[in-house]
Amino acid sequence: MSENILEIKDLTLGVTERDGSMAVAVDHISFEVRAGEILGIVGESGCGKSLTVMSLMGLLREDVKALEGQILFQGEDLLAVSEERRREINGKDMSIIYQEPMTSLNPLMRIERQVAEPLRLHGSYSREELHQKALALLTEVGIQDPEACLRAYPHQLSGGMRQRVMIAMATICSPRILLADEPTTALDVTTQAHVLDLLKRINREYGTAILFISHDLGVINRICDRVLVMYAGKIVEAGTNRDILDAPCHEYTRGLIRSIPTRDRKGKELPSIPGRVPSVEDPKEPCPFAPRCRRAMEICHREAPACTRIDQDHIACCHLC
Amino acid sequence: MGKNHASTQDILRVEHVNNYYTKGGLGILKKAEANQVLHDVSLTIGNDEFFGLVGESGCGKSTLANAILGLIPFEGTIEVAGHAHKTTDRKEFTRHIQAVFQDPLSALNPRRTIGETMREPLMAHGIGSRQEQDRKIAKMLETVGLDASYADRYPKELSGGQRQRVCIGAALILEPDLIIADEAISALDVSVGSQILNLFNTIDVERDFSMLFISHNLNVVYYLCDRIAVMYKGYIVEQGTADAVYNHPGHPYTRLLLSAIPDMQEENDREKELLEKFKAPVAGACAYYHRCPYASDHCHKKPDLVNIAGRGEPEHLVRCWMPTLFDPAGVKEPGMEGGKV
Repeated sequence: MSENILEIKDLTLGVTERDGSMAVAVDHISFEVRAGEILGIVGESGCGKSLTVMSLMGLLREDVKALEGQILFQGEDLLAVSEERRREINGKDMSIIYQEPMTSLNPLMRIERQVAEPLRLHGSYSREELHQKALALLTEVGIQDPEACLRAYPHQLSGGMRQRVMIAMATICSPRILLADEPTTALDVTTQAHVLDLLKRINREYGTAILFISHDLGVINRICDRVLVMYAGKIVEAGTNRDILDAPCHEYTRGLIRSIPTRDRKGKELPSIPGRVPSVEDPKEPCPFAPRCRRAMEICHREAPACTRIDQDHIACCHLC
Repeated sequence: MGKNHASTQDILRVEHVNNYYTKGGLGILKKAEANQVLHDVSLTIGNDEFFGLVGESGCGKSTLANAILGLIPFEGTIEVAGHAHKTTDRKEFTRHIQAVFQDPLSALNPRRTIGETMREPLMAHGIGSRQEQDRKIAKMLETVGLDASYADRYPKELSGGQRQRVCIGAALILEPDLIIADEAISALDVSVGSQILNLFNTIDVERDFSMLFISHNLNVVYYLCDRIAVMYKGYIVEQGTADAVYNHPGHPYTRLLLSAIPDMQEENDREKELLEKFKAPVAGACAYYHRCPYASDHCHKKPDLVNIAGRGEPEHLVRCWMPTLFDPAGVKEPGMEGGKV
């Protein structure tokens, strides 16, 4: 068993409602990110996947609070550390890339300053060293003319190049773990394929663990080693790629896979999941998926399902598994 | 031309459409530079046909949609159910064509109830008394899978999928001949997007309308559409039946798009087609020249669309100097048969 870089225990996040009450958005989730792996989190909007990642970075919005649980990063509880320590960790040991690189880059700063910023903050390098490092890294992430790119402003780059710049920025301090929140959703399919290949290469060559969030099971399959499926703030199923995609047990995972149009489904009705994704304010059911589940039984509306271990890494939280 | 484009069956006829935008034209000292967005685009959509248009961002698919809707100027001919923009009153035109866009929240007026939004087109065209309109709205809400009581709700009370259903209902209420759906399911969750795809299929059975379905997702387009066109840099590079384009692609760009779709198969089953060889661009060359791994000096000239379908088969057009490169069982020598379009 390889060591865990990140251990999340019973993490519970609450969102402050307009009337001042707390609605639970992420409900007692526990998982670990192992050294050198790519772990995927898949789920639909509002399932809590982005909030989870933001809480790992300590970047929660004002109205979101961690109510319970621990986030252990190499043994240190990130929910309890000081802001100074947080700033030491962010960008150096742990970094993040987002969906829309344009909104993460400063439009008034040249790429060079932005890419080298984490190094400037976390180490002492001369100007020339910073330049060389930034240059080497841009070449590494596959930018054709790195010198010109360093001099450019974000608006002069294409979406794919901006995301490569973001990846360079996030990896310049060789972090132990990289968090990626839908990093390819805004990109074209061909650009997406290149960015996924790049992330995979960084993972394999430098052993950087990646926590990869996506709503697209195809993307998850292409890049991840293990997957967590989240629904309404809970992890409903976890396992290796093949566990989840070839032998899913939870009815939500199954429904999600079935509802994707693929080659052999043309001309047939897509077996879509009825109803809609519940929002945070909706009343909580013992099993969050029960109202939409076509195999729901009486017990599903009465009792929360326990999580059953199906295989070595394969866990599902359903009365039927 | 000489194809059966003049058939009365065609709901949409797009012929030799070009579109330009000018940049850098501000200020008297700057010289305006025209950029061509659409290059000689021609396509037809038949009665009750779903036609898919795919391509990456910036390829011109939304520009084409806007030209068809009459929202931007263009050169060439566009006719919807026999009506051309230039000769038809704008209001009359909207009875034949309606659109559904990507983000339903920004498409709906937040201060109007769903019923008011759906009544507007009926009012504008003076269709029916108030009671008749109410009946029409209730019936349409049911058609798109919502309860009639939704007429009294506001957009903010609805989920994304429900809002998109309302947009589809509002587009269909005038019983147009053609619906343009521009990335209509891209902003929706997977489970909700598939519900909308099913909805399009059910309505298709109940009603008579054609659709131009624009998406960057080839899987979705293949699932829903009868015919597909692939656009690259403002050119249609491939066009044919969904089966021909998806299962027997002739253009290297279509193959690249197909191989780039992340699927749920195990990694080693996947064809590694993703080789792109970036070359220095050559003026006047094929639009895809600088990315094409198969390009040769021959490609320094622009290719025409060539029909690679066998005799008696539906048209399968490919804009490439080697249109049968990937399909030896396909047809004869390049450019020999199936005249240019």
